[in-house]
Amino acid sequence: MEDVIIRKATIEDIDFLVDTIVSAEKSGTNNFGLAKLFDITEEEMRMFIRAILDEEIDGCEFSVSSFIVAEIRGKVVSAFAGWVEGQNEDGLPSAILKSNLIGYCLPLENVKKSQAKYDIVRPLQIEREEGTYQLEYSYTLPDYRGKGFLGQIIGAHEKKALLIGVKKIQVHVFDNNPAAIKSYENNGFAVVRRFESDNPETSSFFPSNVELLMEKNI
Amino acid sequence: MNRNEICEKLTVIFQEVFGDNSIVLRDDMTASDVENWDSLTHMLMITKVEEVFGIKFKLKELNKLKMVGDLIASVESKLQ
Repeated sequence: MEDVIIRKATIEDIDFLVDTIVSAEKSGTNNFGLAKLFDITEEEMRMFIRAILDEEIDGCEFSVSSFIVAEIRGKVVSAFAGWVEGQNEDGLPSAILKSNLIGYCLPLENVKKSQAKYDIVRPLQIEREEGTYQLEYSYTLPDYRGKGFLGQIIGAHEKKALLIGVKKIQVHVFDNNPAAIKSYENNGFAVVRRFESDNPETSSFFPSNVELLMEKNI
Repeated sequence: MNRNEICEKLTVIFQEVFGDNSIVLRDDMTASDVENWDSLTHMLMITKVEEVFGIKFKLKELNKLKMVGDLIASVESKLQ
């Protein structure tokens, strides 16, 4: 493992970051909520995610600067985003930065289509706590799983958090993903809240109709 | 269009998008003051503002809109 490099992502990693976001959104299912919400194909959504990342706005899960990656012999194998909620250039909640990015980069007609689906996605829109360190969108290439890369990236995020005096780290995970839940538990996280949607369409939109908030104090 | 007219139109948009006819705009109002003002409705609100006023925000401008007063001022300057 001595040749593993844990480093901040750069715009050069954009292909892997797009894969990370799409894979994390789908969480092992075929449900790609972002594409469904805006009535767009996966390929089109990939293109828009690339355009969003390309804007290089800091402070949310669509920020290149939020991602830390693991690299082995020049190949990125794992990535995980993290940021301090509300601490960005403009002091905005990450949810607003994210919606500004999406609204700006997607075609108007697709943004409008999301209105009809609001009740489906709303129950799982979890408000993020200002001043906490938020983790989102983790992905490791299949052949490299179970080797601790994610733990090393989480460790790097924890160091970042501690350096700026942030002591609480939170992550959201769908309950259909026991491997991820186990991995977070192994890294010191515990489930603190459970969000469930009773809208029957939610589970065809997202990987599950239940999302867990996990937390770790460092 | 003067500031009052802009505020009137924005009030209609806010009431419609956030589903609350009792919303009265204040300059210092933020997302945390309005129920249902979340990432999705924020996007729809901005889209509606652009449509109603016939304007288009740049991404940097959007990220400077911290409170309702910033939105009013930005719409006002774009209409001048």
